[in-house]
Amino acid sequence: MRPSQATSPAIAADDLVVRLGQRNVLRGVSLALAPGERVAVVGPNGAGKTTLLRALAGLIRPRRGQVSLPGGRGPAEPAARAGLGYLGHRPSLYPHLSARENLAFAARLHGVADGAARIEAALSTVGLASDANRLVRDYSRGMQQRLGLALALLPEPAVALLDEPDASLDAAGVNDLPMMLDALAPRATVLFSTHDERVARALGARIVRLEAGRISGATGTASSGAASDSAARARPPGFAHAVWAMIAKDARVEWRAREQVPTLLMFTLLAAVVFDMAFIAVLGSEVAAVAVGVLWISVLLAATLAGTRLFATEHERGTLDGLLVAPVDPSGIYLAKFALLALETAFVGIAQLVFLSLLLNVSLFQVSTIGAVVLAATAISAILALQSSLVVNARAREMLMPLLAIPPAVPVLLAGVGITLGALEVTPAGQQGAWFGLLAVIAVVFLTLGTVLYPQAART
Amino acid sequence: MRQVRTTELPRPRRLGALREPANAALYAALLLSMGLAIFMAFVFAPAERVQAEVYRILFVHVPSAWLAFFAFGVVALGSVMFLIRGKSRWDRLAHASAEIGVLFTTLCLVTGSIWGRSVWGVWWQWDPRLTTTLIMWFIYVSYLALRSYIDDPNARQRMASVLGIVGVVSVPIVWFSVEWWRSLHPTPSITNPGGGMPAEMLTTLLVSVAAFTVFYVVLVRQRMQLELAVAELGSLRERLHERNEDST
Repeated sequence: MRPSQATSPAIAADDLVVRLGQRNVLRGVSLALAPGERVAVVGPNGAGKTTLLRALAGLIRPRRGQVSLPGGRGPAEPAARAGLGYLGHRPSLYPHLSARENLAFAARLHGVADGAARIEAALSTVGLASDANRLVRDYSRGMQQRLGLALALLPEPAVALLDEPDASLDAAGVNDLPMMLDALAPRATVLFSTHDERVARALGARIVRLEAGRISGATGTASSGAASDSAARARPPGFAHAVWAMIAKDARVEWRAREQVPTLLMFTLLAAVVFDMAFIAVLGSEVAAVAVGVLWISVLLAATLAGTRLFATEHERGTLDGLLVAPVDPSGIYLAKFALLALETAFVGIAQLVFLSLLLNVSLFQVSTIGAVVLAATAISAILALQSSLVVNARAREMLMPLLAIPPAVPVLLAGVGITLGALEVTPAGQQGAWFGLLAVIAVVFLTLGTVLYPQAART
Repeated sequence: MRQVRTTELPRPRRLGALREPANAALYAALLLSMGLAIFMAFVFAPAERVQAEVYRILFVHVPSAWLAFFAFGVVALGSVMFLIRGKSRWDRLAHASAEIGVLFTTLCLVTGSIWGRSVWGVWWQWDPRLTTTLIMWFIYVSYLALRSYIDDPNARQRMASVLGIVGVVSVPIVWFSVEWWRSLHPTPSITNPGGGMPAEMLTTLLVSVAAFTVFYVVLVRQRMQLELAVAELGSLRERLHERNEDST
């Protein structure tokens, strides 16, 4: 289908072919939306509606064909996503944050100007003002959908891609949809999927039919939406600002959910107790060597445990899509995840220094050993954060992660053991500088690799 | 329903068929070089003064080690090129090379272990080279595991390419760290690096390396063709499925 308007389209797909598994889900879809136009994609289950929206949002790399967003740029360019609002099949929401906190994070990530006022307006528009401070995990599915809509439209996007915005909404919510769109994104070009043509008509949308990955027909006329120029409200945030926002969000989620740190602390304490008990009969002059062994094995295993969940949690919640459609280079997502893992691993490692010093009566709690734990946590997290991103789509990722993580982490273990044995005067302390150097080199090499390669792995 | 014309289908072919000139040339080169290498290893090269006959395992061990490193270099090359160009053939090259590389690394470890048992009296020593080779084996086994654990072909290709690059960077870091580790912890030296190799042995070794390299090329080529055939079969099935959908 070609654009019926003479103006340059706000969003266009040209001969889009998307293959998922062995199947071509989209088989040459061409589509163009004039600025301000509303288009509804309708079709049976499996027709490719969700895939089309994901490909337009840049979450899937098409096998063939091109997508252009406002300004003629492809969705892979962070700046091109500045004017993009996306509501996926599952709203991109953090269950352990309140509605207001979810919106505040989105506002920071999208660089929404006058964020606080905009958040209040959005909450009020979608009817969640009185529930704004409740955690999203306590929301009904319909309330989550309303919040998802508010989140997608928060930056007042120039282009909004909405996957079944009417899904899970009650009758009042479906009736309110046109009002929500008009209030939150009055100038937006909107492409949405739906099973209900009444919704399409209520929104004044041109209807495009998708069947078996091909556009089979269109009805209706273009809506008379006001032409949009660009997202006036959002300016892409600085890279460091976005990374910091993601770290702060993860820290807040961890503080609320307590999914990682308490478990990891218990794990390391357990490792210390069990290993010490196992070796107690033979512990003599080798006590220092055993303590060092227990320290580094437990640090590596704790990092592997935490690392396995790093990207998987975002993937399972559907929030990774929310991060990937933000106008931020994906390498920022890697750096934020790396920072979180490094903080957790260093914290657990330092706790283990204390546990082992107390349980085995060795003087492990020293400046050099703390430094070694912090630097080793940095190096190991740089490796694991990247590998964690590689296993998000894998089956049995918990089984796979240790196999991926441990071999390249061997140098980190060797350096850590070298430094701590030196600190305990089991070996001459003069070589510690070289081991610190190795840890720094590993951290720099893998941070560079992660920053460069994660964007390649982020969109498949 | 519309009849399928045979011209629309890929030409049927047997993998590695001898009638293809490139295959014939490769097989001839493999037969000649491997025959020569076996002859030289068992007949031409003299027995070693101290180790007698057992040293001859070197003519399998050293080429395997060389090909292990070479294969993983090719994995990295294929991975980088796939990420840049996006062509599946580069990923097929990386995948095939990783499989063959793991095969040769296993051969290298096994032959080294057999030699070690005979000369050192133990099956394994934590020598830097042995340790590094074993870790390298783990890295590339995990590469193959990652591939087999991801069902979606697009995701599999991209994730594996990233790991293919990370793997090749990890190997030198592991290598040097293990070297340092041993140098910081002096132990009685078991290996005896002294003494040059007689010309007959060196020549035999070089011929073996050449023969194994041809063997690697033949195996990688076969593996890539097999992967291509699998991809073509998938694509044919999809076309058939689409045709059925269109006709109903």
